[in-house]
Amino acid sequence: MLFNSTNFLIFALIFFPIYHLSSGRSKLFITLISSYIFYAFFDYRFLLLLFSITIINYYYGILLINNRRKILLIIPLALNLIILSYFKYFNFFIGSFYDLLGLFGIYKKQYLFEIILPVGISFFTFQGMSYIIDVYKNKIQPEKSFIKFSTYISLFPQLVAGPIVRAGSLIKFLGDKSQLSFILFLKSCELIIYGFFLKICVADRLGIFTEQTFSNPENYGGLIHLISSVFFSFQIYADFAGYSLIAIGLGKLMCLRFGTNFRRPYFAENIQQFWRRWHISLSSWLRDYIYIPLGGNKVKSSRIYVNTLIVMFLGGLWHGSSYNFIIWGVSHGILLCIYRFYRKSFKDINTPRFINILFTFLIVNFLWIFFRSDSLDVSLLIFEKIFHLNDFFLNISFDLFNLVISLFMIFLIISVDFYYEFVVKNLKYRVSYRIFLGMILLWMILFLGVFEGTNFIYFKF
Amino acid sequence: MKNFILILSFIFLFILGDRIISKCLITLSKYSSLPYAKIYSGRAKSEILILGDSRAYHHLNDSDWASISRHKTFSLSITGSPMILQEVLLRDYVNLYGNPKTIVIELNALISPVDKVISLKYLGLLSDNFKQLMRIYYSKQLKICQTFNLFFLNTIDYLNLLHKIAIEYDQPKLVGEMTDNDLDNLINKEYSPYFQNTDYNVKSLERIIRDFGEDVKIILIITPFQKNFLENQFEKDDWFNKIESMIPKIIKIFDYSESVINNEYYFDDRHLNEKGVKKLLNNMNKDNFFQKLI
Repeated sequence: MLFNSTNFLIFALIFFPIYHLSSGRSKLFITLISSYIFYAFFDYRFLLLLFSITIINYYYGILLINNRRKILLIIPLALNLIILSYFKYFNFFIGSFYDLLGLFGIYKKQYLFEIILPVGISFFTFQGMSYIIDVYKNKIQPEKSFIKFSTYISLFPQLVAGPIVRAGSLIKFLGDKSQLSFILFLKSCELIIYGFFLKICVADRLGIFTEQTFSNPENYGGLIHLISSVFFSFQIYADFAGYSLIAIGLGKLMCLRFGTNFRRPYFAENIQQFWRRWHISLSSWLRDYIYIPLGGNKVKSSRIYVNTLIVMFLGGLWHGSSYNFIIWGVSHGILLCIYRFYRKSFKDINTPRFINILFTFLIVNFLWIFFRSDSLDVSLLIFEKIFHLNDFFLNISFDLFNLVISLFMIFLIISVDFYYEFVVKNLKYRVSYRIFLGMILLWMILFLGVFEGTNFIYFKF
Repeated sequence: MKNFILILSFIFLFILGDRIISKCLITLSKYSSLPYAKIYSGRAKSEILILGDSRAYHHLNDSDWASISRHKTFSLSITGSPMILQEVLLRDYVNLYGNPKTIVIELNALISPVDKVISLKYLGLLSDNFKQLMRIYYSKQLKICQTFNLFFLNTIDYLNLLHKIAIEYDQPKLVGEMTDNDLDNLINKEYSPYFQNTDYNVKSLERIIRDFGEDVKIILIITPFQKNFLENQFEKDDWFNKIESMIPKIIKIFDYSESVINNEYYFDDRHLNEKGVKKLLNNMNKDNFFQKLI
């Protein structure tokens, strides 16, 4: 069930009144059932998978109450990873193995399985794993109520594309007696409306352009690909930040806090800052559960570089089973290492903030080409076109109106981010002003939105 | 209670704003130079009306016709338009200006699907006939549009209308001709029947003839197709005969489908280029077509 669908509107109109009229266990039970119904709309066959992940993590969490043996940590982690690997990476690994054999002329034909990727598997397995690790490390107490734990794993606002919320900051609030205040209600609506604006007006509008160029890269020259890469940078930001805001807003409507997932990433002054602002719930997960256990910053310099590369390699692989994602992740890793080295070596050099922001954006922008392209060949072709000046001005044809609206939308989100980044830090919440802004956004959605019911990009991860 | 009133006021203001903004935006259509915007702002009065889809739009240029025939001519044709949409525009035209002297209909609109309707949905704010058309084919969309009027304006065609306020509309001409590669593709293309009328378009043509045939001269026309395309489409004669059998004998069909032969005159298999349009005009002139218009 997509957030931007009529089904979800009906679902929400039924769910939220019932949710707020109920209390205690019935509140939990309603949330759980609703979350399973929500998930069933994507593919009911994977309900069993969701349930299995829940059982595994719940069971081992309970076992860890009286027994801290490492095996009780390793088994559930391994089970989570096996399930994730099977659905997400099995064909990739087999295919890569065949490719390797093919290099030596051993095999030619590839036998691959038809495996459907369950929506949101990367998110709910990661939530399960973080729970088990936190219990093992005694950061949180294991949850004894199965309904509560199931609700945590399957909570519909963030089930299919995050944010990845830690058990410690969520479970205790599930089913509690918090009342939705009027201000909280307005704040929730504000987040949801801005999220929908980002998705429907910005991401899907920019998607019209990027879909054309990335699907037929050979037809366009470097200039169009350059524009398209910039458009994609804003498309993926608007798409994923939009989803996150809707999820956070829906959470707030349930009186739950999910934390921030994006903090104006394109105003980052360096690549390290970018990762502190982009998909914060994932980057902090990778930091806390991989980077720090590998030694964090407390090991010698060379080891820090290796650890950074490992983390970013896994971060890339998390996004999908293709060489493109791996290259994307590792490239970010290399840039993080370069930045670390630069910062240590040239402490006294200060470049203007604007230059830093622009430079960081350009680097991130070029790396998105790997992320968006269907294959490595396509990415390389696009890079070739961008940097090969002979073809640079080839086929400069585009839909004028879409282009103008797209540029306008990019200008809007940059302006909003600029306002929050540089102009105002602690904004006083003025109800009438906020309601008026919300109305403008809704009018813009109606007038300029793209209502094709397209998926959120991060659903496929 | 106070909060409840605040929310109700917000909803009321939102709907009110939606109505006011959409009303203001649609009023701007008065200043647009786009042909079908002219219909609704009293700027389309003419003696001859041309109806059809992209083939009429490109092949039957109203300003060329007006200068040759010396009768004011206005084209209601729209790229991709089905006959049923043309009927709506015709009825709106007649409601606003009365009957024209002649209606020329390019018959390819009988084949065009109804999809184009949705991209012109802003006409729903200008025309009850158009709303009726939406009610039949896009009822869900119409309901949303009626709830939130701004959604009527959520189309690229409306933005085009706005654009043509600032920039004078100039009917685009098709430039360039079919390449050898295009011809090879056309010849080797897998057969799929083209000349297939859709019921709603046929009924629409019948209604136009029934309601206007007595007072207005109706001329049906088929403009040229590229010869390799026609060779593949062997059911064209059946199509022609079917149309001929359903119309009164007094109405004549001018078949120019094979009147322009050379490939240099074609932009693609179904559209003449700029040179081809001139060639067609010459051929029509030779037949004294323009003398028979009124």
